[in-house]
Amino acid sequence: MINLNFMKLQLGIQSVERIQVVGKCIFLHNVMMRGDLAKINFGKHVVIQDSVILRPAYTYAVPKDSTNNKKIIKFSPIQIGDYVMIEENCVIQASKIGSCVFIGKNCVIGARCIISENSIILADSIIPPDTFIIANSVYGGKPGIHKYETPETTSIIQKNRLLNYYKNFKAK
Amino acid sequence: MYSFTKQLISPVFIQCECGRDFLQEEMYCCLACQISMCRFCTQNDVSLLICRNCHEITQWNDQSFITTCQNCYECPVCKSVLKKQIDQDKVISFYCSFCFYSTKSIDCQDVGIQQLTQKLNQLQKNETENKQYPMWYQSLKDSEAKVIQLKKQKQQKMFLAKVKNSSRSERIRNYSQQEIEINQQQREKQIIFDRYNLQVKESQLNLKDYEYKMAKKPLLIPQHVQLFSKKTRKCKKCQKMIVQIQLDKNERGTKKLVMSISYFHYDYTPFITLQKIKYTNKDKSEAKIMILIQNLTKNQFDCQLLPLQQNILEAFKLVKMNNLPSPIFGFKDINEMESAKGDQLKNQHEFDGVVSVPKDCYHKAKQ
Repeated sequence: MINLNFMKLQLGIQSVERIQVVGKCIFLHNVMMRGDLAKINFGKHVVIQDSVILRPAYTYAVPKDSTNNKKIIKFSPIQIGDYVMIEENCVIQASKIGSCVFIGKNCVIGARCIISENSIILADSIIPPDTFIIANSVYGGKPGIHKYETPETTSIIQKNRLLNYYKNFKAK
Repeated sequence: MYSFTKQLISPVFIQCECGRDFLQEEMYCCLACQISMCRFCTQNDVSLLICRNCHEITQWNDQSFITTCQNCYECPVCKSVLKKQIDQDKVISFYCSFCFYSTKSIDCQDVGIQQLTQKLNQLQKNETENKQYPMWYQSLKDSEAKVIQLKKQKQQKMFLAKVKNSSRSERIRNYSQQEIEINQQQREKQIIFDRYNLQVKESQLNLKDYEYKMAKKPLLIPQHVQLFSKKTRKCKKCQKMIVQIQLDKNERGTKKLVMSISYFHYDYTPFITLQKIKYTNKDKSEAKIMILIQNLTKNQFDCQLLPLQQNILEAFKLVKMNNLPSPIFGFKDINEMESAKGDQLKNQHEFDGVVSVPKDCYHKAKQ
């Protein structure tokens, strides 16, 4: 099997060297990936839809070799797992997204967030920075609050959905 | 709990005994009772408690009444978790990264965390005591209002008794215009005095004595974070475990949640999918549907298609079925299929059916 990655020509990618893609990923129209700030790693069977922005977040840190104890800005990398779907018009500054995650439309995910596996983020939600989202949970609202629990078999539902999406996808 | 029916991932649903529709992956099964059931038909029992911030896992007992995490606090405005903030003077305080609330507004900041938590716990206790006083005072006022109401009822009864026993000339009395104006002025003055809390004593205006001080505005005190619960599922009839979650310790000593028991519907039944829906007539009144039954599990089992009742056939307007398998058909073990060669083993069965489509269905789908 050939691991094909589908990408549109009108993408806003910066510094392609720092972006790692495993395979079988789909990137649609007007996706912006800021690889010049930090690394971005993708898993397999990832789908990113129109006009999504992937921007690494920064933290203040004191380097070990410094003598003045002055703080320096550091950008943290983004790590995205397998079978992830991100819908349109999202702004993502999270540091880690687990596997089998579904993110709805028009979401804003704050800086240094950690989204664990099998979780769902509803559309039109804003998640504050430095949040830790537990596995098998549903977050939504402004600000994002824990609302429901997902069933134990969400990983299989998400995998079947994305496998069918990759099979039926036709590049123009 | 979240349900996937709204997203319409696949159009194949299973109807539970309770009448609700679910996806094939969302159903559970009990092997002893040989029934598949939904999450509403199972019995839930709490087994573990988790904090969403610090991930402390504690087991639940009947005697434990702890529902909050003692280490973590949440913002009273937006309910997000508070973070530590250290100033240049090494003074610690909590702040919210979404709404920028901080405990400095309540004058809660200290060098050590334990001292800070003691201050917050003390404020929470005082707030509960302050709430009890206005509740007690309100109960007194209600009891006094009842007494006043009873007095008025007695006065009315006395007045009515007098009127009945008095003569006709005493009852009929025409008020003069001066008396009417005086009474009206007195009523208007009384309204103004009550509005501004004034009182006439010995021809002097004085302020009334405040018997109850106005309640203070409540302080924005952060509360402890509430714990989430993990539950086990049991069959309601035979009380056997369907899903169980347990703690597992790694070599490093970290705790993880693991499903030790899990009986799902898709592990013990074939998987049904729809393929190729076509209209057979120009009028688009009949449609042909291809149905595919697969064995995604690695087990061997036999299936049987039972005939439907006439009520259901009339409701769905089934015209005819083609290429039906025999009443009892089976799926073989995948491991045997890989080793065997030349045998006509099947892991899937296909058959098609023709269904009549109502007239409004086509126009609704276009809209």
